[in-house]
Amino acid sequence: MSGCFDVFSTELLIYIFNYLEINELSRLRLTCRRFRDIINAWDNVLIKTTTIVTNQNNDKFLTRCFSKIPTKLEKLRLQNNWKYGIYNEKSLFYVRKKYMPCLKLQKDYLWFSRGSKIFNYKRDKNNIIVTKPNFVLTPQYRQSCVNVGFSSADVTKFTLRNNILVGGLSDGGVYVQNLVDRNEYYIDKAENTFTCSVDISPDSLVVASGMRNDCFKMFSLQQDPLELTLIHTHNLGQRAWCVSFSDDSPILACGTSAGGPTRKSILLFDTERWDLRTGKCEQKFHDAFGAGLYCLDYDYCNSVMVGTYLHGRAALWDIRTKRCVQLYFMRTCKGSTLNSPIYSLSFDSEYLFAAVDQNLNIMDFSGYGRQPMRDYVKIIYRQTSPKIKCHM
Amino acid sequence: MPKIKLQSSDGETFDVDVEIAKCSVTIKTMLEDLGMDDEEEEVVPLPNVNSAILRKVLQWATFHKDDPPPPEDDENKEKRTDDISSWDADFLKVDQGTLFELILAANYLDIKGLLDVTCKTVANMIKGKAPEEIRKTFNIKNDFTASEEDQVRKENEWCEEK
Repeated sequence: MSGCFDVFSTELLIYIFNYLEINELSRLRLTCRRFRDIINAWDNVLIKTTTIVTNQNNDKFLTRCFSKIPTKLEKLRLQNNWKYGIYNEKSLFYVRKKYMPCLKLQKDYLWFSRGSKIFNYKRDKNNIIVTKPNFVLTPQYRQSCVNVGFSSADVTKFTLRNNILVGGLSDGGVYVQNLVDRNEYYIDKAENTFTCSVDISPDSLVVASGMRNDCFKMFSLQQDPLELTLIHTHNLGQRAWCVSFSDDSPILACGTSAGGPTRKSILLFDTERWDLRTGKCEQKFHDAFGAGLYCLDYDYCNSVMVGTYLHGRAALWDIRTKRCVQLYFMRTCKGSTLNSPIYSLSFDSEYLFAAVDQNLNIMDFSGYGRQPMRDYVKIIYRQTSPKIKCHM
Repeated sequence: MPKIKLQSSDGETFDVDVEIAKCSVTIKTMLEDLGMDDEEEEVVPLPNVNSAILRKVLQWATFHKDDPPPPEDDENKEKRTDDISSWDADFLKVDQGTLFELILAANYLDIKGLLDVTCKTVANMIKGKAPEEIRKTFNIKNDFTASEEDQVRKENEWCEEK
């Protein structure tokens, strides 16, 4: 059988394939089943590049990824779609009135708040999400409270942790909801202001919130019955637009309207990454148009996506480089340009979800082929045309 | 210089300098493990290599006997295939069957330098070829169903030349 690869063991074939580049490997997959299977199974070994967005090497990121990307070649293919703006867009849930919605992404569900309601949608392979909500939550006062019944205030922000949802309300309320027993809920409302930000500690014992009146509040969270007790109020002298608990150390970070002396901060014009050990800013990314940033999400590896205040524009950054990877402009359901901030966004390896004033926009980067390409970065940085040649 | 006798699968015996034979890690380990004495006329049987291929291997090993040991593989280093020396290139102007048997022999005898250069040669034969040409060159049977082939083609579209 001389002249035929049948005599070679898998290990020997891998040794030979190691000398090939990505496009040669992908072409070689087309010759026969054996080669395809070897390359698919071993492409993590054969291809020595890290990807952005599609890396999936962090468990926390995986908790919001709808699909696990099976092979390195698939990761590279998807990365290429993110890099050069190759996607299909969906614009859902149009309303006349303008809101400041918020969204959170989980592996199987998308949470989306608008007005006084929080919607839970099931994610779906064919339609991205099932547009009929799985269930709807409306913040509700408990019987014994002074205020009784449904809250009419808008949900400003919300977050999820260990089957507890914590939300901020536009009348200064802080809402907690047990997601297992949906009869367990509580709203703390002490003053008429606007809750800008909320978060819950990893052990679900403490809830923090930032208010428009420059106050910063900490509550302890009791279960059975679910209740919030104010344990600390602090006047920051500036608005806490964003609060966040650290997952692995007892640190609370807080982004304020003026930057401030805090640990992890989103300044108005830059995306900054802070080293929690030194408390110093590690990197600054300047938005190409100097626009204010409204929201941010991270894949816990090297990709940061920010939502800006104009044109429904999101920007993807690779923290290893100084350049913006790509810009994405949300469009209205009729396909025209949009002039809304992105109030909230999240992404996994295939989809970008962005909440704008009148819509929920979804960009699907999982498609095949090279078109359509919306490569704005090429125009901005006057780059030469993308050359797909990767070395191993 | 001490000599050693190597016996190919078809029974031919080769007198070889021990130093040259030791470029094969397999033979080197065998000699060390067995504590073979230089005095004795030992015969090392190589049941996986025939005489024609063993002759080629020894020719290669003799030419490269003073080479520095090949560097350890660097995981992240880009692997080149354009750095084959002209002597090696001439040496490897053989039919495909011989080339493949040389790879098997280099792998069995654990001669990294020879394995590298032969594998590079095969990689170069794959490079720049369309799948159909690769199949033809190496006599590979296309065992895909139409839909399987379509799926891989779809996945490949992004990195194919325009």
